[in-house]
Amino acid sequence: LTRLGSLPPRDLERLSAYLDGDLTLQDAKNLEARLGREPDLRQALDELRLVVSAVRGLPEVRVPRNFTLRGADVTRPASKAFPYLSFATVLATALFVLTTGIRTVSSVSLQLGAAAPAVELSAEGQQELFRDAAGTSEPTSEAAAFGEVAPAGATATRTPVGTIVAAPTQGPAGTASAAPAGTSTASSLVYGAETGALGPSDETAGADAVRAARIAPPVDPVVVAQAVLGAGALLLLVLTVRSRRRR
Amino acid sequence: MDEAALIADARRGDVEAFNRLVLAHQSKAFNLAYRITGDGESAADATQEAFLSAYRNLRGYRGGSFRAWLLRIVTNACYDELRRRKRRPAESLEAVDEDSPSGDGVRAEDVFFSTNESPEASAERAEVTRAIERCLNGLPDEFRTVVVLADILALDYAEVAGAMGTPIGTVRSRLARARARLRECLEASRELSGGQVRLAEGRPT
Repeated sequence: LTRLGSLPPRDLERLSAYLDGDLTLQDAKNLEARLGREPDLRQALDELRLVVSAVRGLPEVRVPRNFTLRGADVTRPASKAFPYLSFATVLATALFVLTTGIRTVSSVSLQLGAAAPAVELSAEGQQELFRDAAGTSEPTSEAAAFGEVAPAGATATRTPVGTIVAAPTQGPAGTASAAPAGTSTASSLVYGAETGALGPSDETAGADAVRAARIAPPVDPVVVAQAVLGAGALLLLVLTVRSRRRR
Repeated sequence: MDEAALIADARRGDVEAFNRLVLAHQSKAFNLAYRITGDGESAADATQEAFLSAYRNLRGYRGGSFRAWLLRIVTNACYDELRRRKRRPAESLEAVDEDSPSGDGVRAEDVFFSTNESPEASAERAEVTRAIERCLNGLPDEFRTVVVLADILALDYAEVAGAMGTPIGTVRSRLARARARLRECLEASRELSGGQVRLAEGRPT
């Protein structure tokens, strides 16, 4: 028995590669010449050939099942950050909704308080108008005058409502634009009365605006904070969607 | 449809196209896994894991032999499986212990192997097969892998190198040394069995 392990490594490699047909033509020729004159080398080749054929003769193993993939297999599992991200998203959104709700409710109640005198004033204005209309020599019918005034009263009460929906800083702008409109149309008695009706409410709103401008800086930090919170919630939502299970 | 087209479709997320590749290669993949891990269950797990990993990392395939690329993933999955097994040795001993030829239990490969020989020939063949498997399992992992790839799966040296991620020179020297070790182990088995385990001449090559 030739101990294959005792062969020079180069010879062992050559014999092994020769069996696989992996030697160059020249190397194969050289080896064959040596095999002709070295019986030990020949015996080593035979032993090696026996081993290789034994291993190659191992029966093929049948696959126990198909290894095809199903759609569910190839779904990428959700990122580890997913539960944290979704929690943060819910939290940020809830905070945003809550603070927006509180701000809306508080500004509604605030503006309702401011709107009450305006409504009273417009009612007074109407009474004044009737007095003026009765005393005037102009051929203006009461009905027409009333018809003209009604929207004016509505405008007076509507102005604060407008400030509720919009940001508080918009309040003065709305009333400021109403004021010149009223003063510029003072030609007829009806319009004069209308101005009278609007006048006091404008003054109240104007005073409010001045006060608000004094207290609040041009950009409300609460509004900024809320915008940041909203943007953060949106960003978290995007990140959460990206980290979910996917293909 | 050719392999390149199936790979391109699979890359675009077509699981059905990938499954056709799976069906074409699963036999070699499973045989490699079975011979490296030495047991059917681990081999099935490693094969499934490898195909899943291959699908997810299809973009990592940069041309060349797709089979070699795939078998390299299978090989790595098998090494992972072997490492896991080393961490829980109690289980592995039972799974790999096939050293008792007189054992009456049905072995996994008896179920898997397809033979249509006479009972005597089959018994002798089974004995030789067992001896070779035992010797194969006794080789260091990288020696066993190179023998399986080159001699059992009949890959050429270039593909073996691709599947092992080593230069061809390394494949050649490892294969030669692995074969020499197998020869010594088989000779020892023959002596131990009183000549029962013979390596018959003229086996199918």
